[in-house]
Amino acid sequence: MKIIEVENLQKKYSNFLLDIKNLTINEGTVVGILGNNQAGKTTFIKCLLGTIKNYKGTVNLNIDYQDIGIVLDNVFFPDTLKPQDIALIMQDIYNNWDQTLYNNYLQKYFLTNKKIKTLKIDEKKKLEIIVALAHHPKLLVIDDITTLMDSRTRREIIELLLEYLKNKKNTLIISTHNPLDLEHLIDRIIILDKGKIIFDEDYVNSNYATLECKEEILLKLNKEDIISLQKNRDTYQVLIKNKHKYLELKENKINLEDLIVLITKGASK
Amino acid sequence: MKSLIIKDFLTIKSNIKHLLLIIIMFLLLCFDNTHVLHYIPSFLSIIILILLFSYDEVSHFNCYLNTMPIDKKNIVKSKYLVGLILNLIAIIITFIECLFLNFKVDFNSLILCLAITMIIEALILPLIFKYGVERVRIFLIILVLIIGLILTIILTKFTLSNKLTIFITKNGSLIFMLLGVVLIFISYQISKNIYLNKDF
Repeated sequence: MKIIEVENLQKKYSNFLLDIKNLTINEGTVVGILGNNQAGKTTFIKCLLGTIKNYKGTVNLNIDYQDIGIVLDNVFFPDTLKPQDIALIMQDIYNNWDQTLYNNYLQKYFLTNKKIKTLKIDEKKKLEIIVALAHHPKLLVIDDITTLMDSRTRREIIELLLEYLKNKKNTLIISTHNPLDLEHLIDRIIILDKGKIIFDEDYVNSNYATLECKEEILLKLNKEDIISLQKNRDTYQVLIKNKHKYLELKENKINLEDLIVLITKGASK
Repeated sequence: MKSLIIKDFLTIKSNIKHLLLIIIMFLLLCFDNTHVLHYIPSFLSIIILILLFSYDEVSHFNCYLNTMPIDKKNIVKSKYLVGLILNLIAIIITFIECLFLNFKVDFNSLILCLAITMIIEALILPLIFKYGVERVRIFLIILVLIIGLILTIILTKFTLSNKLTIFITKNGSLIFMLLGVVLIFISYQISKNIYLNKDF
């Protein structure tokens, strides 16, 4: 089932244009929206969720808002409230609010009932994710997850997300400019740059690799297989697809960070 | 909508220490002018309402709300309702204060006071919905001060038995109340249109 359908979406600001031609996201997939700062990730997510309304084109969200959980960067309850105040409010908004699950998560991650403003950044992020998960959403949208987080918190968050993804029908859209740790979660990668999708591929079954080679080898590569390349001092770093064609060359397994750098910074083939 | 009203009152509760401090400070400042004292709770009710908007703004709460299964009109309606509830609480406090300090309870001036706070809110809420508290803060302070000044003048004249103010307080309070209700209704419609078309 198509959970999100986007057609000719355009949102213009004075110095930025988000321009998404065509995009669908299916139920049960984990989509990583990657890109550098100012690539348009947050604007795109806000258009999907409808908090930005004045755009051109169509965005169809084929899911009830009751079934969506949201974690946006720097967007939450007033910081004078406490976790149990939030529960009191949310259980009136969400029909499926699960107070037992919420309490269990709070206990598991040592979040006591004190004002949000007294929590550390990492604790606050965990609380935001727990609040988003406590009504059993079918679609979870997380914007800019790894900002300023230590490795322990990242692991805990990945743990929470893996538990959420145990239900194969659940869909996760996660955006970040720092894709550390997310590799084993993501099914599909969308890379945004300057408001446009410049890469949209299945990551799990991807056939990508990076090569570091001299010019004579570069010339032997099939042009269709070169996605991007970057010139180093006397070699080229090349992002290729169909890596099985080049088994004789020593290719490296691609990681998400390389992928973003090579695609957004690499010179065009 | 209940959840939104609960949220605002929980926010007030979480700041109750600061609010009590402000109330005590105001009471001490104005204790020698008993007539102004009557109107302090109403002005504080407006200030508390503005503070609630301010808390929402700092935490970008409206962006969050817009991703929830809530009728967007109710978000606007809840703020007007919270405002009115605060105004009513303020009037009840003023009434109790009158009884406690053995002042003659003048229902006309209580209604006039409620009407004026409603008129102030009707004027400022669309501006807050459009531009946010931070951007109209100075304008809000000036507006509240001007109306406060007018009110004080009316009250001072009232004690001097000025004919005009007697007319206003005896016959005009209901007219002011009616004006307040109409303005609140118009104001809500404007705020609703602003909110429904706003990007967060």
